[in-house]
Amino acid sequence: MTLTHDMTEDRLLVTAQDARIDAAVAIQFKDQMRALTAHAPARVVLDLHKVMFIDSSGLGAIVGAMKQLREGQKLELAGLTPNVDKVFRLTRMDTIFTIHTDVDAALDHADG
Amino acid sequence: MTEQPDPSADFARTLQLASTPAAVRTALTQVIGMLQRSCVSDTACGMIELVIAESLNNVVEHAYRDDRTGKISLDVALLRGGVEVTIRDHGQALPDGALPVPRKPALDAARADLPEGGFGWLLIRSMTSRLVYSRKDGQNQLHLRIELNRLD
Repeated sequence: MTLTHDMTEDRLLVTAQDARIDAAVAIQFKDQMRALTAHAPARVVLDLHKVMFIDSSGLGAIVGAMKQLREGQKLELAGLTPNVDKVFRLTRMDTIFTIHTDVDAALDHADG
Repeated sequence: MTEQPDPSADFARTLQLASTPAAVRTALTQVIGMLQRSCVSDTACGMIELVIAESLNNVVEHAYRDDRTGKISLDVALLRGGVEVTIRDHGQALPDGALPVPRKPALDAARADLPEGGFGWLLIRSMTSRLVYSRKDGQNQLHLRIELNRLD
């Protein structure tokens, strides 16, 4: 489970490098996200464009990563591939997150 | 007792796997490869993979309680425009011996109370046209059917 990141004073961008966020790596994902977001700015964007498959464990880990944020921090998602997008829609978790088409759209979208 | 694959199916395979997340990944790769060689679409394969993944994860985490020495058998058949899946294990029975009653996750909760689990059966039910659980002689059996023409 590899997450790369790029941090500026305005935002932390995390890119998931694995094709799957599933039961095999859900705990590692959540643990790594906790470490990355602990000292990050208020805005955290998770780029999922390389992720082709998530199951309910992966979805739970993404929700868990959001719950680990401190008050005032926010987790946004970008680049959901079709199967991943479907999991968010079927579970209605797409109503819980701000979801951007891709990272460019996310980073152009600066909350005022 | 080994079951013979249905000879009238477009294809049928039985896989045996250990109750570990890594073995589940391997089994999914094999099953999806077989379906793709039978010209099942990528969209359909994505949903079939999800249903089988959720079902196998339930066995690993709940039937076998993460005991890595458990054995799971997975039958997959392409039959009359659908995918038939039967999963058998010798782990714990489902609570109350039955499929869980469908319930909607509470998404209007405060962030700290949002659910991180309980989505598995919702996903399985949303993509299957048939879902049957039975238990006999210490063996769980979950049978499900996914219709290939309803997955868009």
